[in-house]
Amino acid sequence: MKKLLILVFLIINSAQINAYTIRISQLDPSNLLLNQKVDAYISVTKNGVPVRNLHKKNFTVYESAFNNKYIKVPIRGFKHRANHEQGINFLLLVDNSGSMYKTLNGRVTKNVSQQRITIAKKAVQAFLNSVKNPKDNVGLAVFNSYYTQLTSPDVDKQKTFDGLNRIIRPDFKSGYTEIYASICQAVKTLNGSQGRKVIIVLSDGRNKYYSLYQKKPHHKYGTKLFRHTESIKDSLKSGASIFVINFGIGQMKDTYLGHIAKATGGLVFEANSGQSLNQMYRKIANLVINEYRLTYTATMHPADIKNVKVFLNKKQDANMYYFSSTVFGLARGIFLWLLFPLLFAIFLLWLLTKLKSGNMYTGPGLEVLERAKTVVFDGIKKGVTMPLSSNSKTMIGLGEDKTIISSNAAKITGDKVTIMFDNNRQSYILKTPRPIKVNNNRVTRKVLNSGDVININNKTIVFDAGVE
Amino acid sequence: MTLKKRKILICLIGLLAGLATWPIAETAITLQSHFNSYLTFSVFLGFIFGFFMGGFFGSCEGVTLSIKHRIFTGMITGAVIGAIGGIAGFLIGQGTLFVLGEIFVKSSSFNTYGLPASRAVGWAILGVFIGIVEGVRSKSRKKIRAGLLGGLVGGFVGGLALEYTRMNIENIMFARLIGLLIFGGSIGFFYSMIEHALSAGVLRVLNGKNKGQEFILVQRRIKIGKSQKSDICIKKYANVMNDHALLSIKETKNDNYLILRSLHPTLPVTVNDMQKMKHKLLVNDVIQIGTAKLIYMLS
Repeated sequence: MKKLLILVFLIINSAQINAYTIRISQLDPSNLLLNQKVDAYISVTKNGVPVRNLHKKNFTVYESAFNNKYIKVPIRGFKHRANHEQGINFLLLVDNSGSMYKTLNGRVTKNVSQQRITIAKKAVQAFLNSVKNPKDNVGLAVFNSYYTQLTSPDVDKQKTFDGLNRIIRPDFKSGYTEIYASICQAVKTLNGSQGRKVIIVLSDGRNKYYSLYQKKPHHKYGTKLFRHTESIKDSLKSGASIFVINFGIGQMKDTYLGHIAKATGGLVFEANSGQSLNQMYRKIANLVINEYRLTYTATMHPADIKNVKVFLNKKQDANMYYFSSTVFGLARGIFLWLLFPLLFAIFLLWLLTKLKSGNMYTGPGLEVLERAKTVVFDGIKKGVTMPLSSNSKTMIGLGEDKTIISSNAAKITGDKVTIMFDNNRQSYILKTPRPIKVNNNRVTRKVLNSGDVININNKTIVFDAGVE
Repeated sequence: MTLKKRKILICLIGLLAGLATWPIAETAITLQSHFNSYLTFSVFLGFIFGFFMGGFFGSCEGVTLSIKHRIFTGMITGAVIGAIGGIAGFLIGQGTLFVLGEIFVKSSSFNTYGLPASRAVGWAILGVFIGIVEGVRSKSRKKIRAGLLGGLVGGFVGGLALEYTRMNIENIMFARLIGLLIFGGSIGFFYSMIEHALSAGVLRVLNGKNKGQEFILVQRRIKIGKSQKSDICIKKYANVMNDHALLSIKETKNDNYLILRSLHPTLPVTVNDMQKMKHKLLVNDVIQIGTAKLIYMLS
């Protein structure tokens, strides 16, 4: 009898489990570097209602770097309603295209209270009033042809209330519906936030590209057409899940929004009245609050994207992926040819060590130290030491507006400093009619030693006897 | 070697550091799966990165002065300090990423500016450690300060370039190569510029085999002699002692000046043809130590 009861219990339990729907709503790898852990937020529902009494042992987590070989990973932490404890980052993204100024049925109206945007604003207000957790952040953005951030996610809900008053009716050109681009923009707002990130998109239509309809580039996006896949990629990178509310009666829906919601761990809801819209906002918040947070130890296999699979009682499963690239990105393999740049760099460094540090010159000469354009060597290029000859005199003086070093006296006007070789002393001797500075001492005659510095006309000229 | 050539050479060594580190980094990242966490893997990468970068930069002083002994000691010191810097840079960089992440969280420009800027801070930390290698080797606070500033600015600019190169070039290996070259070159460039700006001038050799060589005066106490350990090594001249003279940079509120003194009571130094045991240097003073003559000039 007892065995029969257990069997009945297991069958009933199994049947219940089979009725559950499991969904990974967010993967948060922000602690990957510090403690090798990833948070997986799991939503389990039965007939759309959150299931509350599950335990760690009900779940198993697998990770794959290559999408083919899944490895079971240990679950280190388990918490139900963790989002309530740490707070949720909500961003409400509201359609503000031209059609939002029609009635729920899509008829043109001047009655503001009947316009979809008015009903949406009231629903947002109701949602804000329902957010009681002081740790929750709520932000508001609207979109049409453009994305406009009205308030960033903040614990101060009054800012979002104020933001609602800044929603203005777009002109005709601004009234298109760039949903995919706007989701990409909205995701950026949540980048870097810790914990649960939720974007609730309210729209009454399909994505309409400004540049296609206007036949001219978008002021911000140019001719780029944002695809729904970009919204998915950006959302997954940020770890935000997208919930979608299709609002209105009988309008065309954007089917790709369903893809975006599914891929990012969100859901799609329908609302055709103010009341149902209020309910959908509350339902989304309730689903998120009742999620389970599984913290598991991630694998180290290199991959830009890691696939994660979570099983509920080894039956239902849910998939999602996260980006796991490192500072340097992925390796391309070990290549033998990589030795060449390394050896080449070492070889070049070795060559540099062979550079001579000095400026070798074997014979006697005069060198001007300053990079002076006003110095002219006789027949010698500027910047080169002028050799001295033991057979002739070398003169330094002014010629026109330049200092001239020459063996031709005719080129120099006025006083000349003469340097000549003294055969008796076997040295060069400097003579000048007026005192000049040599090694900072005033002289009219000096036997020059190698390295002596002659200052003339504010030029520094070095005498070098040459290397023996 | 003139100061201009020295600057070019330091930039070149920076480029070579990037070139040498690239194949090492490419090989190192293939080992990811052998590590038990991203933390230890990042520490390993930082170590490898800093070790090679620091080693190359450590050779700068020895290469520019053509002193073999200093090339090897510099490379070893550089590799050790670089390795520490690499680890610190990678960890601090990641930590900064979290701090800046919070600042940039409300900004839609996080991916474009916040993330690269955060990582560039980490690269700047690595740059700081690479920059201070010569200061630590020569135990000079002023050189450390120059290296700190140069490494910080160069590391940040180079790090930004590295991050943006990775973001904008599809071929990841090529992007990493370009990024590392810019990173190395940038540290070399900014280090040499700031070292120049903080220097008290140069001593230029006027004669003999090292004629034309310029010694930048950065550290407070500069030994002149023929020893390879001397800061200004003039070994190819007669009558020069191992540690012949000492040049001290004195900094006061109103003035900075240099004092030259002989370290041998029997061997005074000659300044402007006059023998002196101690002398306050002025611009264009001509110093003679043994047969070597040097002129003090502003850089």
